[in-house]
Formats: sequence, C-alpha cells, structure tokens
Amino acid sequence: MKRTKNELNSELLILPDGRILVQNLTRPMAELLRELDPRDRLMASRAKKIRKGI
Amino acid sequence: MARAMLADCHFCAHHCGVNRLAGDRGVCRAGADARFFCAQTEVTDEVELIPTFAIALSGCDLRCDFCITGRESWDPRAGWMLDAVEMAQRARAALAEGARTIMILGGEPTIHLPAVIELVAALPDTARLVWKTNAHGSAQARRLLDGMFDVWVADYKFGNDGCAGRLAKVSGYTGIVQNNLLWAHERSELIVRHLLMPGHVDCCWRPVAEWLGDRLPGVKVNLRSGFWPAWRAGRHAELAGTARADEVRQAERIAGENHLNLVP
Repeated sequence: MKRTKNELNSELLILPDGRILVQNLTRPMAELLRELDPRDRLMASRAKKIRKGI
Repeated sequence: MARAMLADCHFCAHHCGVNRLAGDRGVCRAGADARFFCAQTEVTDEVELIPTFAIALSGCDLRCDFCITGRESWDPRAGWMLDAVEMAQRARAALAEGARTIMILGGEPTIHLPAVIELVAALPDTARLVWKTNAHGSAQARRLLDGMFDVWVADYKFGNDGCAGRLAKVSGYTGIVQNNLLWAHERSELIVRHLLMPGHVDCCWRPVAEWLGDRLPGVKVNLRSGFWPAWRAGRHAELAGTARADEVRQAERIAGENHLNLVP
C-alpha cells in the first residue's frame, strides 16, 4: 500500500490471547485502544488530549 | 564541514571510510542525502516525552533481524527526501498543536548527521529535542552531536557481543554502546531502552541491567516487553514469538535486584 508523507500510521499486532502490541502509536489510535480497555492507565495517559488535541 | 565528512564516512562505529559524496556505499548503504519514512506526532515513547513529533530517517547501520520497522528502517532509499526547512515547519506546527518534544530517530539518524545538523538549525531554539539512537555512533559523531540534543534515548539491545553479532551483524557492540552511554549521560538527559527479547533474559537483559546498575546508577531505564517477531526474527528459533509472562516477571526482578530506575 502506497503511503503519503503526511498521513498518520500506527501498527498493531493482536495476539491470540487478546493482548495488543503497538508501535508508532498516535493519539487517535491511543484513544481507540483506550476504549477497548478503559482500565489501562498507561494507555489512558497516552490518549490524554494536550491543549489543542493532537 | 559535516557534509564534507561524508567523503570519508566514520559516523558510525563500523568506520567504513567510504566516500558517500562520490556514490560509494558502506554498511548502511546510505548516500549523501537523507530521506525520511515517517514524520508524525506520536505517543508511543516515554511518557515524559510525549506527545513527540517523531521524524524517522531512512537507513540504519545495524541489521537487527527482529527490526520492527523492517525495510523502511534499514533501506536509505525508502520514504521521501528530507527538506530541513519544510520539516522544521511541520515540527513547529506540531509544537503549536501540543507536542512537547521533537524526536529525531531512524532507522539510525547518526548515519545522516549532516542533514540532522541542518534540520536542528532550522528548528526553534526553544524546542526540546530528543535524539533516539542505537548508540552505535563513533567518536566523530559524538563530537558533532555535543550539545545538540536535550535528551538522548539510547538503545542497549544486547548484553554480549555474541548475541549482537548473531542477531544484528555487528562486532564489538557492548564496548561501543557503553562508551556512548557514558558520554551521553555526562552531557544530556539520558534514557536507556532495552527491548526484552524472548530467550535473552539471562544472556542480554541481565548483563545490561547489571552494567547500568553499576556504571549509571539512577539513570532512567525503559524496559520494553512488547517484542514482536518482526521481519527476519523467524530465522532465530527463540525469537519466533513474543516475550513470555514469566520472562517479563524475571526481567522485572532483575531490574529490582540492580536498583534500576524504570520509567514508563
């Protein structure tokens, strides 16, 4: 798939046991993942909006 | 001056000595111009650094078989030409939108030091700059980098030269990385990262943890347990899966035994 130089990219690996590994995590993706497990404090801290909201 | 050094390249510890200006290529295969394969605001990194506007330059001097980024990371032809002024504008926009830092990474950014110097010169003076590196740079690279970055995030991937040679095709790894870490710690904030590899807790993580506890007590350490079997990891039986839960627990115990300052 051809990428453009301004698009956002995250990569996920979903494991059979339900764990999700991620690299290049963007805030929109962090928000999405937080929805999957609202108790995940680390993800919540990464999903938190800062100022204008990236 | 830095660009002229490409005529006899010694930016990384491979010391190829090739003339990149004339089209010759060393281990990293990089030419004279830098390209980037990703530039976006991310929240993946250490919590104290995020959101960070991360600029990932194409090409690397190591060939870690488990490289999570794969081709884009090690292929210097991947991505787009780096225009320092344009990228600095994007970085400024990211800062205005709430990014706390600007991170330059790769691949391995050390192989593109002339372009990095141009880029940093175009960035706002007040920006908090992060250098994300494999810590396999040379003394020449260190001299150019002195005072340029506020924070170094440096990988210490392998605890012995045998694993480094087998998994990343590099020799003399541990001594080179240790020299760079000691140097960086004296001159900037330092965060040391170790990606826990399955099957390498005792041979790699333990000696890394012991050395950090002994030589860099109190340094921030990010022990990352999210290994995934990317790229050519399957060539090595022990790297065919993720780190097991008991390995992660053992690694955390080792961190505790060595009084490491773990950061999220």
